[in-house]
Amino acid sequence: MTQRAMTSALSLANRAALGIFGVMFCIYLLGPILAFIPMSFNDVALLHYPIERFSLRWYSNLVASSEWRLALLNSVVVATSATVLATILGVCAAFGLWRGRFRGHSIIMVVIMTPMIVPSVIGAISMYFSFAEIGMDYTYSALILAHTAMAAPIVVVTVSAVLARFDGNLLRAAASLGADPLLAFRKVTLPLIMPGVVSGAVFAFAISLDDVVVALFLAGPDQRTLPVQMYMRSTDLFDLATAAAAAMMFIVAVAMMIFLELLRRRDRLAPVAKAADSRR
Amino acid sequence: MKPSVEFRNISKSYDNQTLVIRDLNLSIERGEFLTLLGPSGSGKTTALMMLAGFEMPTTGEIFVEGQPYSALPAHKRDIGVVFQNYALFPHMSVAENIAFPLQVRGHGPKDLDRRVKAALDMVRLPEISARKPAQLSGGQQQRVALARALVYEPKIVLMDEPLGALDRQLREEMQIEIKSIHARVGVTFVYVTHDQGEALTMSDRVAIFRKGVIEQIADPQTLYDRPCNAFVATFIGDSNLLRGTIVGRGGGQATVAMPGGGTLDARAGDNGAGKDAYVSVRPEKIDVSAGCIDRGVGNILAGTVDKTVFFGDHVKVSIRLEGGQLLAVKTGTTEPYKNGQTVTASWRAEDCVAFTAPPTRDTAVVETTVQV
Repeated sequence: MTQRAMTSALSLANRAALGIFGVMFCIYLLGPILAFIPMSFNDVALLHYPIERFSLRWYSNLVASSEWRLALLNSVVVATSATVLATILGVCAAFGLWRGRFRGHSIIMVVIMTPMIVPSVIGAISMYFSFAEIGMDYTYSALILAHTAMAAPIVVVTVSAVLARFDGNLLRAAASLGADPLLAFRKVTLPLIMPGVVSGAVFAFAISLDDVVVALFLAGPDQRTLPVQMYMRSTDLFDLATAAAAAMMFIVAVAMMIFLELLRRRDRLAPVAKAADSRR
Repeated sequence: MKPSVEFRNISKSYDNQTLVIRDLNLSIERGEFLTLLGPSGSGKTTALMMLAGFEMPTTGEIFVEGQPYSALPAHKRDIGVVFQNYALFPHMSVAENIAFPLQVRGHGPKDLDRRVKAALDMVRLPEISARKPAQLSGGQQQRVALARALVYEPKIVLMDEPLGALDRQLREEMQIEIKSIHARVGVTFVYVTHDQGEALTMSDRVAIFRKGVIEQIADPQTLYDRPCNAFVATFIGDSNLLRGTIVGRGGGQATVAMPGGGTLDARAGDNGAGKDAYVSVRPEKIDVSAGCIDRGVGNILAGTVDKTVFFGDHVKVSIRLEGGQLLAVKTGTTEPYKNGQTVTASWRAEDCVAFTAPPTRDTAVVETTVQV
């Protein structure tokens, strides 16, 4: 065997090994989810394969059940409200931190990031007692406020990232042309940082939709969100409606990921923020 | 008529310790093209930023057409600014960029179109209104920025090193372009640059900044011919600066003894009483001839050729004078000089100025600013 043939055989073996490893790692990451979700199409209320008869009965059960409908509605209302609030707060905070280089700048950044770092059960328990103290436990407001606090930091992070590429001279230019600070923000800053704002909002929505721990503490039966409902159903009288709900949430999550990726590509193809500045 | 702009006793400090601008007094006439020229860190850009409203003076007051302006926010000043990096809005088309100041002022769509078109015609770019800034060349972006700063007819237009990012040929084209636009619109232009060539070509007057102070403010010809001190003499254009000792004064003239023997007659550049003299003479004012010939034209110094550099339309000869100082001469002659050859340099007394203070107060005296 020649030297070249030996190396190529070796590299073929290497590539095959890498391929096998890659596939196994993906199975490890996604296997449980991909195994669970198809069961939602099984006609029989049993968690096993093979699927005996294909059916959508668990999906129709889901839609028919007032309990599940309420949970879905709660999730949408809470996640949407928290996303809107967290995005507004996060954009304001990121812009303020970007503009002002003041004393204690980095301390404020750490404070803002705290909700992301603190274990959620600690946050949940403290919020539960705090809201109970002022009589706000088991209310939509409490749940929305809690999710807002959990989601705002990610908006600060994504918006700060785009602001780092934003040319401050553009705001000076806008001012010299007669735009007051609010108009300059609306017409110049906001359109240019929009990719960061949108991806921050998507992450904020995902954080709210993902939360079980805080909602378990803060939500009464009327505020029960979809993940909490799924958790409850899985621990008592399990039926495959949970699998159907999981399938739907999975699709939403995948859709959000695809959306973020498209957003990222668009941003990369049109490097909007500092077109002129690259020439400096 | 009130001046367009007046800086009155303006000082500026960013850290409450060092002053970037020291007690600046400056009056700019309506329709004037004034250039603020100086090395980096001299305070010229800070002065411009205070006029634009991006920085507040620490003390003093800025008047625009007689009105105090220091406390007025930038967006209420009606002063156009052209930035070094152009600062075009990247998400808007060229037309939208130019329309921006008009929209802010509530102009109707018809008026808007007409003015945007006129502005693009003015900067000779009628075809590109739909493009985004990233699709334009540097020179085109510069023109669009200029159109945007002029379209709403501001009282004053400020330009902060607007040609700094362009290559040399384009820069020279844009200098002529900007100058001709200034002549057409008749608006007050305040222009910041560190390029003295640019300042001399374009300006009605040039203010030379150094360390937060204006050293001299005058028209380009006066600055070149009658610098008020050794710093201005060496900063504007090329200039030799010869060290000597003052041995006689009177009638606006000074007689300077050279360390290698011989004396120079010069105009007295300042009223200093010191003995040290720094004689400034432009390389192109000096005649050079082979041998030791006394032509009787005024100042004559002998030396040997140190080196010659050929530039095509002229030759630069560096002469080592008796006493060791180097003298740069710019001559049109094609006569070849050999290194070490004995030559005579001569120039008229009115073509040189004697100063008593060195060009820089805190560094070693620069013998000559001409690099041969």
